[in-house]
Amino acid sequence: MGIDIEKEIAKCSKCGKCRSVCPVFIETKTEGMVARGRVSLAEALFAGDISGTAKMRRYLWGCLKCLRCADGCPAAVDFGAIIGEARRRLGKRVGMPWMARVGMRLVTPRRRLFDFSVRAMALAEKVLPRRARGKVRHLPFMFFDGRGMPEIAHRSVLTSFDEYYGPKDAARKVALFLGCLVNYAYPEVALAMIKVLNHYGVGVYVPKGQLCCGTPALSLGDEDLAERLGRANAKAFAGLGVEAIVCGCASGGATLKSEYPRILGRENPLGAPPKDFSEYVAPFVTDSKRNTAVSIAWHDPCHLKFVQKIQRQPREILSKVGNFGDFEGADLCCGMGGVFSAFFHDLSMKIAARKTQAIENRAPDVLATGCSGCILQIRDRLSAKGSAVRVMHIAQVLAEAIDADAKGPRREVERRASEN
Amino acid sequence: MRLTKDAAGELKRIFGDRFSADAEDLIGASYDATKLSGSPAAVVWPLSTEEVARLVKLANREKFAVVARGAASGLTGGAVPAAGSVVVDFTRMDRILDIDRRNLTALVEPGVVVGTLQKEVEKLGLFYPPDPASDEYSTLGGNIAECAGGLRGLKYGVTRDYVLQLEAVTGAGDIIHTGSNTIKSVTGYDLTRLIVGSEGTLVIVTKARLKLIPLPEALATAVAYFVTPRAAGETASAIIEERLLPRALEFIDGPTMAVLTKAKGYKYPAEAQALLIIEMDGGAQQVKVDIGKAVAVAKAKGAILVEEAGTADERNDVWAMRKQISPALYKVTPDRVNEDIVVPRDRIPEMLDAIAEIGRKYGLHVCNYAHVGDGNLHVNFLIDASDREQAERAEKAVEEVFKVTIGFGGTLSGEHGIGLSKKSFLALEVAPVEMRLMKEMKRVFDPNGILNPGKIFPEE
Repeated sequence: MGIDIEKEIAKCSKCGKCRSVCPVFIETKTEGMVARGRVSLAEALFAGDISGTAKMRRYLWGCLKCLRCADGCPAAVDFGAIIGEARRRLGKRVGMPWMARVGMRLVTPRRRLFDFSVRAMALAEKVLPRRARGKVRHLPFMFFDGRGMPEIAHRSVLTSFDEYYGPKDAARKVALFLGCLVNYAYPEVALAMIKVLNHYGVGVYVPKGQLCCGTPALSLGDEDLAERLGRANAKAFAGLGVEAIVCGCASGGATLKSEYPRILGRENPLGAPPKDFSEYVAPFVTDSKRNTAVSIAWHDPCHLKFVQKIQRQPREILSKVGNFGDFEGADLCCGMGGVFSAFFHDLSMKIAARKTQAIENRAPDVLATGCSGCILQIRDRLSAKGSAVRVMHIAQVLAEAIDADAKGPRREVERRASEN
Repeated sequence: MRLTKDAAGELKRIFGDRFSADAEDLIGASYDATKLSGSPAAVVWPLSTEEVARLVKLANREKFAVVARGAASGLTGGAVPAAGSVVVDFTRMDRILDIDRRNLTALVEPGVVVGTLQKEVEKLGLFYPPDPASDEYSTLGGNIAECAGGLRGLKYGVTRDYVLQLEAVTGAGDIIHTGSNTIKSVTGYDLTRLIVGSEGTLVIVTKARLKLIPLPEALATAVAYFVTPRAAGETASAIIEERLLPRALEFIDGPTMAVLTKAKGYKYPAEAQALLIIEMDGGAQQVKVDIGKAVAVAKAKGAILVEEAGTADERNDVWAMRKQISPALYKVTPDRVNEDIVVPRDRIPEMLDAIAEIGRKYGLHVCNYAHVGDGNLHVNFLIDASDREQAERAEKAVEEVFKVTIGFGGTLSGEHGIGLSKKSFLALEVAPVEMRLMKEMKRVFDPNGILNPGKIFPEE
């Protein structure tokens, strides 16, 4: 299952096509900031022709890992594997984000410590004087300079939810993989996913032992930590007898699907195939009473479209439950990229600005998506612009449609009443 | 020629943080799509013509080489920098300065990506026809330097047919303006056409005024399948003999189709050994009539199946298939030798036979596809370059292909240029007197041999 990195590097024909899609290159116009340049840098690094300088770090860490380049690569170069390996080796030598790594190594494998850290952060936010709040909020995330972090939920999903939802004898059962943001900041997304799945007769486990998926660790080049987290997750999801591991976070899902088999060294390491939420529920969704007054657009998370190759299912779902319309720029990157936005704040903001402009041109009532990171970034950037667009997880849109159907004609009456 | 410390300091003063001699940036400026590479001494990212002129003046004084660079997507090494040279990366000089709807022209900087210009002018109902396969990422500066072509060459010509005026810096560091912002002009020698395709060896282009035409109203597309490549080639000639002028007439041979089937799952009639993509453009009624005539010609020439792409989606599928050739070929072997010879259109069937024979002789896997309408054939020998013996066989095969091409009255390169990879073959086509003239021309523009040294001309 190991990937021969030298072979992957040799596959790059240096055609330059990645220059046309890379969100970072489009902003920086620097060859070191695009896949072709990075592959060449990795090649020189591995050959020992060049050492890990500050610029090298910038070029190799200044990648969102959106993997548009790999998706459209004529030579099918596995760029994710190359950049991962380069970061791993570079990390050993120059250890760029060592502070973040130490923190992550300490916290992510220990659920209680993670809970405590997040709680402490939320508490500090409350006790400190209002004026300072904006800053305190991202004190532990210094790198999120100027960004409004989401409110920390009163209680995380894993400390407050049941272990199982739905009829005990459900014909179909799945297990939810939450992801950290849903667990700590967006429990309503977990609730919506459970509600929708139950509505279609699917029983839902929420395994308590699940940890961070390891995406940030992989981004920082810490494969050992990712492997530890992967093993813990494999244990948490073992023996449930489910038909799928449903994940509502595009990045988490991408890691479970394409990184776990490699880092854990076996096929199907979680015991059931990981599926994105929209990928799993699309076949069940039936035409709902269309609330045509609300226009819905879809934002393609990079890790959904370019890594999981999923773009049709969410559109099908949304067309069935609302007034869905696509828009130019639906697949523009939001610029979040997890740890990328931490170290490359300005770039992240520039990339986000193109996205929010495209959204404002389209001006839907609701922008649905399928990734917690995208939700965080796009909500923050749109609210900074005073936009009225509601950014929702697709599960929330579906849950609302199900509610509306349950209420039946009353909703139509209400709508007319409000119009008069 | 090498960059002295003083010269580097002076460059730093001119370009500020748009100058770099860092190893990371030098690596990024060292290669192009041939995978050949050089070792430059520095890279600069200019924003104006004046900066480029100052650079070239300094280069003449300090005697270092200067190599212009666009997206470095070229296929013959044109952008591969000479050792110790300063690379001029135009990526950041990428403004569309003006689109003139009255005179149908666009004024651009060299770093503008071709596809970006195409999209912008199409919004206004205008059309910039040259469409190299790299148009999503290659730059107009690079397209001008290599005289890029594309699928639409037969009907619309190539880059040189769309360049009206150039602003450029000569090898001596002088800023020149060539051509005229008019369709007609015979005022003196046509320096513009001399510069287009000169691969950055005469001048460095810093601005170009390009000709635009109205965007055709409608398209009609069909795919015809044949049992022999010869029948497809003859059909292409017959379509033109019928006085039809398709905007694209693309040929794909059986081995290439087999690769598309294997790597990408495309399905074709079992006995098909070649296909033609025929696309007409023009008025909505006219294209229907024209495609009907072309289909009739194909059937008369023995096409076993002709499929018309009726909707935009179907048309996009056809072109997506064409674009998949390159990725699909990489799935067969890690490397390929891709040549872009041109022969007079009516010699295509014979040329295909000759290539097949050469492939057999050297035991190579050959895949051909062609802009058959303009006689431009992409011959691909699929190899693993790490197998030295196989790579050498491919080199010999290429030389034979070139000789046959010249014998048929053809030319070594339709749209990729000579650069580094074909320079040793130049004398096959260019006679000593013309070669001497070309070299003298080079000296006139670039007396100290500053600009892109080592390209086009064979080693002496």
